[in-house]
Amino acid sequence: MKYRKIIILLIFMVLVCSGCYDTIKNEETPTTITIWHVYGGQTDSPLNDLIEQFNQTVGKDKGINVQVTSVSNTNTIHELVLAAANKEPGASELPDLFTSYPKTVLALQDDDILVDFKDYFSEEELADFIPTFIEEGMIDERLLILPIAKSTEIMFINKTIFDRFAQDTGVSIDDLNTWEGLFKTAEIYAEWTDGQTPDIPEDAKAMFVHDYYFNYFQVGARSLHEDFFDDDKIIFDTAFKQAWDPLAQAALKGGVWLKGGYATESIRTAGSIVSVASSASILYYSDFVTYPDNTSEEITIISRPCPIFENGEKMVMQRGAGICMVKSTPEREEAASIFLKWLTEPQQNVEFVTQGGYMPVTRTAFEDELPKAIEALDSEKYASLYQAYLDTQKNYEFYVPPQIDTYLSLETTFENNIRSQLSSGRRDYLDADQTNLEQISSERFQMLQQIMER
Amino acid sequence: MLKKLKEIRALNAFAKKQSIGMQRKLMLYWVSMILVVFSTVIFLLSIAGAFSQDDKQLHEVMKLYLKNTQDHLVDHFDNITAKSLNLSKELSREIELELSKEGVDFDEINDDPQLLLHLQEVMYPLVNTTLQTADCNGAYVILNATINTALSDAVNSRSGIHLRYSNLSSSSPVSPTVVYFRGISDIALQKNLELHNRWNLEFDISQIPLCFEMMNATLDRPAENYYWTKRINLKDTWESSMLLSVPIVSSDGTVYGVCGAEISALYFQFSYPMVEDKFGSVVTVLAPIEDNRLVLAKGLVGSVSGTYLDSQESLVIHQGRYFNEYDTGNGKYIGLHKIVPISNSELDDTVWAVAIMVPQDSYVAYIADIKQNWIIAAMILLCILLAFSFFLSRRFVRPITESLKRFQQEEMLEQAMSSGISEVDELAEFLNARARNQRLEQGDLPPNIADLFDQFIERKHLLTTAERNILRYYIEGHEIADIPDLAFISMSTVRKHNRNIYEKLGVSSRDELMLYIDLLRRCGRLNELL
Repeated sequence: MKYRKIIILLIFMVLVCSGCYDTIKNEETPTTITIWHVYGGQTDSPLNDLIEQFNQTVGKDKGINVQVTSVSNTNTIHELVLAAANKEPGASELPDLFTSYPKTVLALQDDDILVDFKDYFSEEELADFIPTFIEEGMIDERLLILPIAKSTEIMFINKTIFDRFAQDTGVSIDDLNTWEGLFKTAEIYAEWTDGQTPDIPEDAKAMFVHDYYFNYFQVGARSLHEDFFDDDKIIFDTAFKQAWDPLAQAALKGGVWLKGGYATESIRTAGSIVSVASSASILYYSDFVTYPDNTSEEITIISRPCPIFENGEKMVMQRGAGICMVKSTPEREEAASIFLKWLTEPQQNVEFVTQGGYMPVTRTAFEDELPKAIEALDSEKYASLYQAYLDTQKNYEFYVPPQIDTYLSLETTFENNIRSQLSSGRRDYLDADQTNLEQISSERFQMLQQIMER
Repeated sequence: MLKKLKEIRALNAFAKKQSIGMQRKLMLYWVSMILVVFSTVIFLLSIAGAFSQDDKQLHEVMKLYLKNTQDHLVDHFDNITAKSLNLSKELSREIELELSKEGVDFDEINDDPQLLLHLQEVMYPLVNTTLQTADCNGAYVILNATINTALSDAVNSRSGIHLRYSNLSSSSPVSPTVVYFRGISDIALQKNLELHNRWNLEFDISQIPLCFEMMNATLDRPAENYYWTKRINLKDTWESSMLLSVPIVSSDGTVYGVCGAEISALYFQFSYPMVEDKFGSVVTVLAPIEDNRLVLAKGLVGSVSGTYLDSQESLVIHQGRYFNEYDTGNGKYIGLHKIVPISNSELDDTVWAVAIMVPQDSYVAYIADIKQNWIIAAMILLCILLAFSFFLSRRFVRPITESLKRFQQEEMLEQAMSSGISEVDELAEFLNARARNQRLEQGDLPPNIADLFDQFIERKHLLTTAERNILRYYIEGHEIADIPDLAFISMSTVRKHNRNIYEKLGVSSRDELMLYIDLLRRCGRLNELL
């Protein structure tokens, strides 16, 4: 009997030892999860810094290592995700997490490759998120896009050059409060810059650049109480025309930047001095402009709420993509959700968003952490942005684009065509010795309509 | 202490006085023997190197990985170098051609924006082709000239073009986006290229190691004067890169500038993915060796998936028999490295090494896993041996204990069955003989005599009443002749009864009968016969 006990004890010890060894082994290898995100573009990324902080603290404790394998923009990620999901030749492997707008998820042939965040976040946890942000990520009653930071469109002004211009011409920064005023000012700016080099004709400079003219028309139409979309077609009605006229007039006179690229690029070289872009583009604005002779000038960038139409509602585009999680193994999904929970904790979330020009996504972060963070901002550029943000929050209605499968292609087509039509219009106007402005504008409008209705 | 020692001695002496069961003692001998044999086997196995096979195996695997990685890396870097040397040659020719067309010396291009723009327009397709064809993520050219010599930092500012891929998600992107990192922005507009978020018109050559020295050196052949810079952070971006610098040398030996390719930390990460091996995650590293340290902060690290390796660390190298140990201070890695001459310049004496390494923890865990299997197998074997020894000792002791039991029950007769063990039988016989002698000494009947008496007494029940009466007369001492008168029967009837009595009691004569009666009387058992 005694011996039997000893034998059982020995077997038990063996099993316990083997259990211990297994635990040791598991602790040694971290679960590595990969992420493609858009926060920072090619600059110092605030999210990368936070990820490093996560890896060194919570990640180390829980055996999780988050690796950034691409910092890009949502359109590139859209293409990469679709290529990877469709297993196209040469496509990259999908990461565990990627930044996405609903348009990317809607374009997926099979969105079953994505995790429903409700499987990893309790109702209580999700209840703290701002409901409209959660609604934006709901697709077919599944939460496929988790908000981690939200942005809106803000007007950025190179105050240094604008002040010089205002002093010479008598315009005021308040003229930029309405679209009509802004484009009128752009016309004056074009004349003013053209006049500064009398020996070089027709070298007017653009004052204004918009990241997405598609958004300008979309929000404009809605703010003028008209629909912009009819299913997946654009409605070219009164509101559209009302938005078109001041823009086209300023563009034909050379006051609007119509070349490709983001708004920040022309601001960087003083190619333009006023932009409407995502609040998150604050990261890409430099504190100086570089002129062609390599001299640079220190500038002050200030932020104001987005302009509105004189007879329109105060309405602005809500932007800011969310995060999607690709289905993998329970361990990886769990690790990714731990990281996302950490990132959306009020303190981390506010630290992250205030470095990138975003807004936090939970009520607690908004109410408890954000005011303290804004007070602590030592950059005037950021302080101005958050003041404009708070004004927008208080006075504007946020517009969320509809979930249309072809949204991205519609946006790209429209963006390319409006720029090319207005650029052609500008050439026509110069060729006609700066006459027939209204006729050229009207022709280009019809051309655009024809192209978009094809 | 002394007191305790005394106590232990006393305990030992007491234990010695205690008798131990034969089975337990036998078991103890078995266990001792098993343990000795077991330890000897383990010892011999360890001397024979059975347990250090993993180190050797790891060495072989590492050697193979290192060779493959080294071959791949050298090919990769050779390819980029060849493309960059070709770029240098073509740039040199194009610049010379343009300068002769313009009728200016190279020194005169400073402060001439139009000429610099024109030169950049000429250089752009060459740089772009290098970017598209070499396995790199960026290509550049820097001219030893600036657009504005009047600026305070003009000494470090140099005109040129730097094109980079952005939005990389693999080492061979199908349709990568080219961004314009450095250069005159007109070209970006002409070519419809996106300006990098941190675009600058000119290069700050103070950020590029040895660039200034290279531009001001007297050089002959670019192929003898190229080098890879240590990894530098691309200012105000999250990226860092190593740049290949090849001088652009004119036919008269003037250095027009430098050109080359870029490999970013991210691109290297995609190009050298982690390999999952049974020993752990195998990571590739290309880094300079300084003071017996592998300085990752100045080199490039492949994918570190499955490890905690940080690309900013310095690893102290400890040479080992089978593999080296690389200590970060926070963690240890094991692997091998080899010097690779990727640069060829008198200006640069950096010793570059390619290394492959796995986290020591995961290797230890792997070894622990193997050991665990060994331990489980050994434990199971030990358990089986113990169970076997238990079974054997019990089987061996069983006849002895059973014999002992029979002794205790006094069942051991002289004709008892054999126990199967001669020593036990001899002991039993010896004990029987001794017991017999003892009984005889005490006046006891020998057991067979007693049996005869018992059988004799038992047979009395066969006698009839008349025969029993006649037996009683004999017991009382009467002779045969007295019986007819006493029993009122004839002599012939007496004789007949006598025959029956003899027959039934198993005796052959009256003398034998009387001997029994006498003996029974002497034994005090005569009343049992009546």
